[in-house]
Amino acid sequence: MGVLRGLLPRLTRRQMALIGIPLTLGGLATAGAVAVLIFLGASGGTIRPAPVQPIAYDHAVHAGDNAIPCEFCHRGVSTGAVATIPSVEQCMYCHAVVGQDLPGVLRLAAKWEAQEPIEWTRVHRLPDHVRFVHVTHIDANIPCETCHGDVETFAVMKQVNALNMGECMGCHRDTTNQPASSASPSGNAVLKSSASLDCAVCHR
Amino acid sequence: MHLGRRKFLAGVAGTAGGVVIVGCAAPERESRVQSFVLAPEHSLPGDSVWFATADAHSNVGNSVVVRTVDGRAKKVEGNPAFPINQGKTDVRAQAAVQSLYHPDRIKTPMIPAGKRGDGRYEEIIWERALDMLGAAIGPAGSFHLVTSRLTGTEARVAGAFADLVGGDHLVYEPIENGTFQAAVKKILGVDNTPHFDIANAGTVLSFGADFVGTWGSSVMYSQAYSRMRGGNRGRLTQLETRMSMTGASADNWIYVKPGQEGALALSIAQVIVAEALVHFDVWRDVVEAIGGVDVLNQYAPDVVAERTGVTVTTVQEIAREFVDRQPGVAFAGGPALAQTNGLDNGAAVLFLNLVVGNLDKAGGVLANPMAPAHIPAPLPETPFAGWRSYTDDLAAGTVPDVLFVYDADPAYGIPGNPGFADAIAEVPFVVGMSSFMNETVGLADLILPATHPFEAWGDFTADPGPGTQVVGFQQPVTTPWNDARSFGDVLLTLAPEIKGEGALPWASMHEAVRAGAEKLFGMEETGAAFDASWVELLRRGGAWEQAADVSEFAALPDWDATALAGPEFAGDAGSFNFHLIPFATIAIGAGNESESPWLQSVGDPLTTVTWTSWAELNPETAAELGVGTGDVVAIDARHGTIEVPVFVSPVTPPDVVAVPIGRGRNFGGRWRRDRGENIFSVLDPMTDTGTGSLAWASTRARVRSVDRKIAMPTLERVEEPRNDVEEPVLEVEGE
Repeated sequence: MGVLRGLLPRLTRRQMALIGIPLTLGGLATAGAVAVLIFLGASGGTIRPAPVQPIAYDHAVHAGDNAIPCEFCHRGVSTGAVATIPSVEQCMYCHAVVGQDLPGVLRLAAKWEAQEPIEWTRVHRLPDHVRFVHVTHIDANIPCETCHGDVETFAVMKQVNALNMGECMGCHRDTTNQPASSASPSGNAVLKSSASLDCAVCHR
Repeated sequence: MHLGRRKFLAGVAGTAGGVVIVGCAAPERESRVQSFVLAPEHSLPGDSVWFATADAHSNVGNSVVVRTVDGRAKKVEGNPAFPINQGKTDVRAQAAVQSLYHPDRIKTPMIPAGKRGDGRYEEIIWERALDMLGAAIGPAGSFHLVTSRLTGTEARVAGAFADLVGGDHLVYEPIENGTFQAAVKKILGVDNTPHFDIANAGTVLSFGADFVGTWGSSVMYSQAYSRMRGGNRGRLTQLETRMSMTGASADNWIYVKPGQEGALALSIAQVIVAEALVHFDVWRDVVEAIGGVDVLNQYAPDVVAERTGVTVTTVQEIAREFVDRQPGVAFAGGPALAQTNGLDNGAAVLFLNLVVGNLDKAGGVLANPMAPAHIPAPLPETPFAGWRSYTDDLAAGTVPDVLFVYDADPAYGIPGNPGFADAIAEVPFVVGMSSFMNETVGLADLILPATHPFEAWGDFTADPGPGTQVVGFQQPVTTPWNDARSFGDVLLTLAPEIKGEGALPWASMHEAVRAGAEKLFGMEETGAAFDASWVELLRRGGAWEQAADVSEFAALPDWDATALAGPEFAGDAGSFNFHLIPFATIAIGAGNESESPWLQSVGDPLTTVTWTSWAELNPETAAELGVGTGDVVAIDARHGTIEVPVFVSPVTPPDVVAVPIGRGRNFGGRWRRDRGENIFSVLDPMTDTGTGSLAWASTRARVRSVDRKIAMPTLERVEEPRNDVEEPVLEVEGE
């Protein structure tokens, strides 16, 4: 100690407090932030409340009561990375003749009339450092419900799973989830018998 | 308010917490997602869609494929199916996306806010611009249209518009092709560029033509050169004044004194004839046609060795190798033709092909078909002599009512006094159309934003073709990024307004290009029935299977070599003791693409210099002048002085100072302005006596130090050249 004391400058109590308190607070804040980030990243907590949409679209009526398959509207899901939201034109394929007097459909028709896009609020969003490819999962016979929940019962679309890395890895490590047959809903060949655990598959 | 310690700490903690929470949340705009109104077919958000289109920056006819994502161009690659560039591109094609999204593109039509040319502009809308244009051209007594070497349908539309309003169409290009074409006409008797079959040649003699860098169809030639090396291991001999990239790649690099390339070529021919290396049946008639064996004997190696700077032994070796390793091909370009005797140099070099009889042979010179009439090859430029007298006339007051300049910059590239910029001062109405400001457009009364080639329709016939007819199409791969319109569309909008409906047969460039494609195949089906073929043509990027008769080479040359004049130089050799040799670089060429920072930072292959002009000097000359790499020197010619840093290069001949073309501009965006010097500003307006083209390599200069130094922007550290005589790489001792 004697040696250390010789090396360190002598400080008054006031000076020690001035240096020590911010250092302690800073350390605690960093430790807290790291803990929060680990918690958010690993064990959920990013499920956001269902947002208000410009048109009160009801999945329960479309996918539930009328049993319209998901892929009918989300057409990109079996061919590309993104599932895609339907174009205004696509909604009007049916609503030119179905439910024209409903308030939501009237709003939709007004947008079509004006040739304007509908500005939806995103429900599911993955961070920018993740590349998720829908078609790969569809080809592996993973049902939409696995990630999105029982959408056919949702009057208002909401997020039910945290969609964090822990959930991804849970499935990717669980070989019992893998499809038994090589047929896939999109008709594409299934190339892999088990999901990859390679970081670069999603983080690229 | 009393701020206690506790309140202060609470406030700090709260603020920090707020910052962390707000900072971690995704921005609000990222939570919004717009649906398409009409979903595009065959396209998903985030997925790539590739379109084939023209590489319009090259004037020889390359085709590219452009990767687009969500309607925006992202990346350029060569069109793998296209016979000219075969999936490859040059560096300028790669940078095309950068000029597309360049922040300094002309965004809307503009008029000067003050005096013409003082650099302040006011933005206007297209309707007003077109009204101004119509009101000016309609009643104009005289209308002059100045363009670059337009090609295909765009060239036809420009010509048709000029004819419609009774105007003249002048074509401007700083580095002219006219001398080469005239030499081809004299020796081979054809009006288009032949195909030099480098890929199958045993020997290539290239006199000053930097064919793997900047000369001709360089992407095609580079691949042919690689095949020549890989297949039958042909040999390349490059004979030139300043070592080019091709010279650096050659097996054999021979220094020729400026303007003596023709004498050297005839000297090689003399050896072939005198040593009977080729059977006399092959060369008898063609040698007779240019004046006979006696004329050739005037160029015997020992007679002209001093003139050409090439020793007798070297000439004999070149001649013997050229004959031993047939088929072979000889051609000339670059500074060899930019002399007062350029046409004779070009003719003499092409004549070598006749002496060894390698026309219409694989590995020799093959004829190309002419371009179809409705998709012409790039227009021939108006020779420099014509431009010089035109500029003098303008300065003397003979001015048109309206001068419309598109994609050309004569104010930058016409040497001599008065300059083009001063000469157009009296023109009542100058219109400038371009994607970027340049020295000419900056002086206009009305400035119009032109589309990028990726935003417009067009077509072209490859010149030269690979011995067959190759037509390419240019389709827009993205919607215009700015409020730009295509030149052809502007003319086609104006025509009916000035001369009434139906004045020109097309309403838009799209219609005109499509009509040309229909005619190309003499299609039975037209209109809707042609739709499927049209989509297929665009998908492939062009058409190259259609049969077309090739031009027929003349049996005998139409060139007389009996009394050839030697080169003349501007400036006497006593006070101007250097040959000033300008050269184009692979990145910015003649300066048209210098707006791109990518291209500005591409190192010249031999020196690795970026971003600025430089003067290449021989080490001994530099030592005599007391300068080294980075020291600034003044280069004085009769017509002016420029100051550039020196690059000491062991391959530069002692009496040569070489300076790149294309920099030293006052307009055209933040990365183009005020970098380097404009070499055209000091060139003498000498012309080739045969064609009137600018003899840009015939100026003499003197070089002096100005006691200033800059840090040379090179990509590599420059080593002092090794002295192989005093410091041999390997010494064998004893046996």
